[in-house]
Amino acid sequence: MLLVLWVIATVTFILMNIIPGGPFASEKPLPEAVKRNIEARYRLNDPLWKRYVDYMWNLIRWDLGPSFKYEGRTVNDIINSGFPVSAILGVTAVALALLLGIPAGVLAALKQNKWPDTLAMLAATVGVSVPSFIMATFLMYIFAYKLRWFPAALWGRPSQVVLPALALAGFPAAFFARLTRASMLEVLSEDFIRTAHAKGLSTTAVIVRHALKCALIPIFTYLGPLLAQIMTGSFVIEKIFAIPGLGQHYVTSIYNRDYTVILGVTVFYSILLVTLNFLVDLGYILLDPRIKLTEPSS
Amino acid sequence: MALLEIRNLRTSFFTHLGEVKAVDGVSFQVGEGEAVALVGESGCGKSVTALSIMGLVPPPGKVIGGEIIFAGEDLTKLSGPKMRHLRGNVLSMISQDPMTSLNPVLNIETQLGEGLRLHKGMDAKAARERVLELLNLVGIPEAERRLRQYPHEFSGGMRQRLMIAMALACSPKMLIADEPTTALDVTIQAQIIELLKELKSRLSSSILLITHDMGIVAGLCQRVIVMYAGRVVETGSVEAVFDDPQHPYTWGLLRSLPRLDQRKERLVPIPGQPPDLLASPQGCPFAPRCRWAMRICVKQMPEMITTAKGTVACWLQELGPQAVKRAREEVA
Repeated sequence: MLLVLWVIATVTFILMNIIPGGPFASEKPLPEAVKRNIEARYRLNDPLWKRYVDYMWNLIRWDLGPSFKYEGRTVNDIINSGFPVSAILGVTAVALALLLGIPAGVLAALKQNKWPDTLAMLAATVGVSVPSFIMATFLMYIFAYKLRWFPAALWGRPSQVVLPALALAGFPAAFFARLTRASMLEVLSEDFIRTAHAKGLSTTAVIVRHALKCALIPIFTYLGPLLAQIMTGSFVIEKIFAIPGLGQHYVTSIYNRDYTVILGVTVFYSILLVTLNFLVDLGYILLDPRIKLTEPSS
Repeated sequence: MALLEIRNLRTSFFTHLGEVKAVDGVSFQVGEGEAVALVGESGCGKSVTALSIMGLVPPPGKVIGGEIIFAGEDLTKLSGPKMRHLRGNVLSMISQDPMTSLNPVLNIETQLGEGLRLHKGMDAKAARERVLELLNLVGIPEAERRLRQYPHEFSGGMRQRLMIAMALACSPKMLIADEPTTALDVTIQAQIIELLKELKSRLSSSILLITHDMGIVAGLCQRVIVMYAGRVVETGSVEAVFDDPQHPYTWGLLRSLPRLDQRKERLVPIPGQPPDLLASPQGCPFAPRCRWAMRICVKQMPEMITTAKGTVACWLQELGPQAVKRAREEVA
C-alpha cells in the first residue's frame, strides 16, 4: 500500500514538472528580482532532486506545504476545509444511490419483464446516460426554481445537500439498479433458493435472508472505487452548486500550476482510494465466507 | 387411508413453443411410513411430480388439474401461507444437487435451524441443540465445530448429509428425496443410501424416492412406480416389479442396468427417444419405441389395469399373462 502511494506521489511530481509553465508564469513577465524572490521563498530554484527529497520528507510528516496561489493558506488547510464538504456530499450521494438503486434492482428482478422491471430499467438507462451536470440543471430548475422546495445553491444547511447529492447519485443509482437486477436474477435461479422455499420460508424471508446477501457481493465490490470516484469527481457539481468542496480546489490548482496543492490533493486522494479499497477487501470477509485471509501458501 | 394420494395430477409448462405436458394424469398413493420409489428416465416427469407436491413448480410451469391429498387436505387448493406452513415442516424435500442446494453465504447452524425456529417456534438455543442432534443423526462428526462452518467447507457427501438433516429437522411425515445420489460419487452414493436406510428404520417418515437408478430402489423401498413421458406405466411391490415386470418399458429399464448375478457382455439400451411432450401422442407414449407395439397401441391410450401383483397400463395385457411372459422372455 505504501509502495503504491510512493509511486503515485513520484509520478505526479514528475508529470507536474514536465508540464510547461510554472505557478508564477503569467502573460506579463514579472520583474527579474521579484521572480527570484518568490522562487527563493517557495524554493523553486532548488535542483529538482532536492525539491523531490524535501517534498517526500515533508509528505512523511504530513506537511503538504504552502499553497502557491492562496497567500497564507497551506495545502493542509485546503484539504481540512474542503474535504469534509466533499465527503458529506459524496457519502450522501452514495447512500442515496444505494437506497434508490438496490430496491429498484430487487423489484425489477422479482417482476422480471413486467412493468415495474421495464420502468426501473428505463429509469436506469436514463440515469446512466444523462451526465450529472445536466441532471443538476434539471433538478435546480424543477426543485429550486419551480417548486422552491430546496435552495438552488451554496452550502451550509442540510437542505442544501439534497440537490447536489441527487445529481451525483443519478449515475451510481442507475448502475446499482442494473447490477442488483442482474445478480438478483442469477441468485434467484440458484438451487438453494428452492431449498429455502422448500423449508417453508415466506417469499420475503427468502429474498432478504437468502438471496440479497449473495446478490449484494458485486455491489460491494463497486462501492469502494465509487466512493472515491464520487468524492473526486464531484468537481462539476461543486462548481454548479457553488459548493466549497475539495474537487473544485483540485481542478483549479491544475490550471494554476499550484504545485503543492496538486501534489497534496493527489496524494490525499490516493490514500483515500487505497484505504477504501482495502476496507472493501476486508468487508468481503464479512460478506462472503468463502473468502478468507490466509497466509500465502508456500 | 394413505398419507399421500395423488389423483390424476396434471402439470404443464407453458413455454413459447406451446404447452409441455410434463405430468399428464399421474395417480398413486404413499402410505403412512411407507417408502415408495418413483422411477423413470430423465425428463419423464418424476421431479416435476415432486415439485408439484411441494407446490414449488417453477414458472412457466403450473399444476393444471388433479388432486394431491396429503393428510386429508388437497394441497392444490391450499393458500400460500397454509402451504408454507406444511413445507419443511410435515412435508420436506431433499434436492438433487447438494453442491448448489445450500446457501454459500450462511452458516450451517443458520440454515439448519431456520426451519425449526419458523415451524417449531424454537429459540436460538433450542434450535442449536436440535441441529447438533441432527448432525449426529446423519453422521457428521465434530458437530459442535461444524455448526459455525459454511457449505464450502464440506465435501459433496457431507453436504448431502446436511441436506438430509435439514429435511428431517422438523420430523416431517413425508420426505421427498429427488435423486439424492445422482450428483455424488459412486462410493459416496452407497454411503448416502446406507444412511437413508438406517434413518428409515429409525424414523417414522414416509419416503418418496425419486430416482432413475433401479439399483438403489431395492434396498430402500417397498413399492415402485414406473413413470414414462409424464404418465405412470406400472406400479407394484419391489419384488413384483423386479421379478415379474409387466410393462415393456420396465423390461427395458431393468435390462439397461448392470447386474452382478448375470454375466452379460453389454447393457441393452432402449432404442429411440422419449416422445416430445409438446405434442403428446394419441396412443401409448411408449409405442414408438416398443418392439411389441400393436395397431391399437398408437391409436388409443391403454387404461390402467390391476394385475395380480400391481397395476400396469399396457395393451399386451389383453393378450393374457402367457403372451406377456413370452414377450418378456424374448428379450431376456
